[in-house]
Amino acid sequence: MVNKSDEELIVLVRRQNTAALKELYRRYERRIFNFILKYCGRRQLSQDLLQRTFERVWFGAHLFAADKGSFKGWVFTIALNLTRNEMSRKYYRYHHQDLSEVDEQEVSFPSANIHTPETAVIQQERKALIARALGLLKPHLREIIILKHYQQLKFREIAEILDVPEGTLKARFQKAIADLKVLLNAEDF
Amino acid sequence: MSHIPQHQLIDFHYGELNAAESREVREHLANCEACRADLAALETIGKTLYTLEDSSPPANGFEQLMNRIPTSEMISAPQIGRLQVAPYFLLLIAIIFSASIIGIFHQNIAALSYFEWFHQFAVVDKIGSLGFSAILLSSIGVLLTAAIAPVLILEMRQRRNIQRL
Repeated sequence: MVNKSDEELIVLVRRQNTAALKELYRRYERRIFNFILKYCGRRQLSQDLLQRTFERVWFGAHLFAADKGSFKGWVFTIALNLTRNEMSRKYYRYHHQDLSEVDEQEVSFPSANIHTPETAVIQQERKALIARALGLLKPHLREIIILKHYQQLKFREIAEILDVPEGTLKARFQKAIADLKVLLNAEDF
Repeated sequence: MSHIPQHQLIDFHYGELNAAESREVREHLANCEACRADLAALETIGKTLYTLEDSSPPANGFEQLMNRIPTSEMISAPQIGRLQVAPYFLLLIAIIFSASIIGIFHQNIAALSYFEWFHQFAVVDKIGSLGFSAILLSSIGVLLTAAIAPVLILEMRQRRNIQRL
C-alpha cells in the first residue's frame, strides 16, 4: 500500500478496501487535521471534521474523478466544505473567528523551542497573537493563507480546491498578506 | 525602473517561478532596494506565521473512523449508477406498459363485472371506456406508489447525502 499513489489507493477504497483507506488516512491525517484546526481553532471540532472528511472519502470514493483533479485537491475540498458548513452555523462567529479566545489546550503548540519560563510565556503570547490575527482574517482570505502557507500547496492546486481562477486567488492572497501585516502590526515581530 | 509585480514576488517567495523567471527576479532584486524590502516584508510575515506550528492529531483516529463506518453499508459505484438510472427507466416502462394496456384492453376493462357498480354514475359514461381505464390504472399506480413511499423517501435521502459529498 505504501508504494501506491493516492489515485491507485482511492480505486481500492471504492472496492471497500480498508487497508487502502488506512494508508490514505495516514498520509493526510495530520495535514487535514491542522488545516481544519487553523481554520476553526477548535481541537475537538477539528477531530470530528477530520473523521467526517474520511467518512466521505469512504462513502464517496466512486465520485472521485482522477481526470478532474488530484486526490489531494479532492480531500482538501471535502474538508474545506465541511469546515465552512460547520463554521457558517450561527453558533460560531464565522466572519471573525478569534482563535486566541479558545482554550490553550485546543490549539496546542509544541514546546520544543521553549527553554525557560520567560521565553515560554513570550512564545505563547506571540502564538496567541498570530492565532488571533489569523482568526480575524475574513474566512475566504484565511483559508488561502492556511492552504498556501501552512499546507504548502501550489496556487494551481488551491485554485482547484477553491474553484476560483488563479489570478483571483493571487489577488486574494495579496489582500490576505496585506491584512495580516496590519493585524500583526508586523514591526513588532 | 519598473518594479516586480507583487504576485510575481509572491510566486518567487514560494518557489513557483520557473528557472528563467527566478533568475530575472534575482537579477532585479540585486539592483532594486524597494523590491528587496517588499520581499523582506513577505519573508517576515512568513516566518511569523510559521511560529504557529502543527499540532498532533488524535492517536487512535483511524480506529475511531472505522467505528463510524459500517462497511456493509458501503454504496458502490455500480449501485449508484443503477440508482440514478432506474427510476426514470422504470417510469418510462410503466408509462408505455400502461398506455398499451389502456389502448388495447380499455373496452374489456370497462366491461368487467367488477366495475358494474361504477356504471351507475353518469360521469363514467361520459368519459367512456378509455377514460375509465386510464383513471382506474392511474389510481392503482398512485396506491402502489403510496405503498412504497417510505422506501422512495429513504432512497432520495440517501442520494441527497451522496450528492453533498
